[in-house]
Amino acid sequence: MSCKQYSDQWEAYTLGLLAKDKKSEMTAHLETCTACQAELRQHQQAKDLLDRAFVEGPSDVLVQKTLARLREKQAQRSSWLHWGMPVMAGAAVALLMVVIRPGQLTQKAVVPESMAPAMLAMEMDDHGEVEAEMVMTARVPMMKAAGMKKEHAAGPRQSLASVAGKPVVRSRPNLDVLDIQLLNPISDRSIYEDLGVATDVAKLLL
Amino acid sequence: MKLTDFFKSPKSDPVEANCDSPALEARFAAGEMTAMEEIMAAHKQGLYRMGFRLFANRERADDFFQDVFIRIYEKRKHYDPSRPLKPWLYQVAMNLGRDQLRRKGEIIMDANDLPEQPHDPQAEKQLLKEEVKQKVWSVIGSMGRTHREILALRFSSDLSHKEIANILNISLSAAKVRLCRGLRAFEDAFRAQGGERYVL
Repeated sequence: MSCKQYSDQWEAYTLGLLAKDKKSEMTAHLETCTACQAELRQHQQAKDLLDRAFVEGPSDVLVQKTLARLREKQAQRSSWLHWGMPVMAGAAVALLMVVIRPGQLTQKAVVPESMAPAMLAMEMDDHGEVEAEMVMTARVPMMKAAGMKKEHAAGPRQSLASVAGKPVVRSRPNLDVLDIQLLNPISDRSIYEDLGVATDVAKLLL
Repeated sequence: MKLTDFFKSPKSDPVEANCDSPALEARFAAGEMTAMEEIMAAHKQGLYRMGFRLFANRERADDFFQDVFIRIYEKRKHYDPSRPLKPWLYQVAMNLGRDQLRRKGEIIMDANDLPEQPHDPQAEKQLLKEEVKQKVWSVIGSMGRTHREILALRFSSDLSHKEIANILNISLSAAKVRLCRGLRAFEDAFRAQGGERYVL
C-alpha cells in the first residue's frame, strides 16, 4: 500500500487505536518508508509531550482544605437528620391541625378524620436544600368516587386516576371507602372534584 | 534533544489500582467519610491533572479540584455500587468541568500561570524542561473545548478508550476519531505557536 493510504492513520497508530492486523501491516510498511517514519515520529513526539507535560498533583494544603469542606458538608447533613427532620415533621403536623378545624367540612365528603400528613423521603438534595414529599390521605365515601369513576373503581388496589402521568389515587380492599393519597401538591381543583371530593375539601388540599 | 529525558513521572497514581474494591464502593455510596478520603488519595492526581488540562489555569484547577470532590460526595446517591467507581468519578468531573467552562468561559493560558515545580539544582536543565512544559500548557490552553476534553481524559488517567467514550457519551469509534483529531490539533497549534523549535 502507498504512503497516502496510511497518512491519516499514523495518529491512530501512535495512540494505539488500531486493530492488531492493521497495526502489523503499518509496522511492516514503516520498515521501508522513511517518509512515514518521519510522520510517525512527529506524532509520537506530540504524544510524548502530552504524556509527560504533567503537573504535580494537588498540594497538601489543597487536599486538606478539600477534606475540611467535605467534613463540613457531612456535619451539616448529620445535623439536619438529627434535628431538622423531626422539627419539620412536627411543624407540618401542627400546621395541619390549625388549618383543618371542625365544621369546616361539609357532609358531602367525610375527610378530616383520616386525613393525616406524613413526611416521606425527607433528605437533603445535592445543593443542601430540603427535599420533602408530603402524602395526604383523604378518605371519601366509595359511592362518590365510584359514581364519578366507576370504571376505575372496579377492583381493590387499583389505581383510580392519574394526574399528569402520576398515580395519585389508590383504592383499598375495603370498598366502603377509598383512601385517596395525594402525592405532592396538585393544583387542578377539578381533579379532586372529579374524584368526588367536595369543593371544600379540595380547597384544603390545594 | 530527546523528549524522553524531559520529564520523569508516574503516569497514574500508585494506589489507584487498589481503589475500586467493592467494600469501598459500598462505603462511598453510604456516605462514609473514610471512603471519601480513600477515593481522594487514589484519584487526586488524575482528577487534578484533568482539571488543569481542561482549564490550563492553576487557580481554576484548584477550585475545580475542591468542587469536584464536593460534587462527587453530593452525587453519591446516584452511584450504582455494582458498577466501576473510577469511570463514574471522571464522568462527574467531566460534567462539572463542562459546566464551569460554559459558565465562566474559557481562559487562555498565559506563560506565568503554570504549576509550581520543585526546585532542581540542575538549573539549566530544569529551565529547559520548564520552557517546553510552559509551551505545552500554553498550546493546550489555546485549544477548543472538544479537544481539551478528550486530551484531558486520555492524558490525565489510564482510562480505557471505551471508558472515555462512555464518559463523553459518544461511541467508541467517535472517541477514537476525536482523539486522533485532538492529537493532530495539538501538533498544529504547537507548531503554529513556535513549538517546533523544541522538538517537532
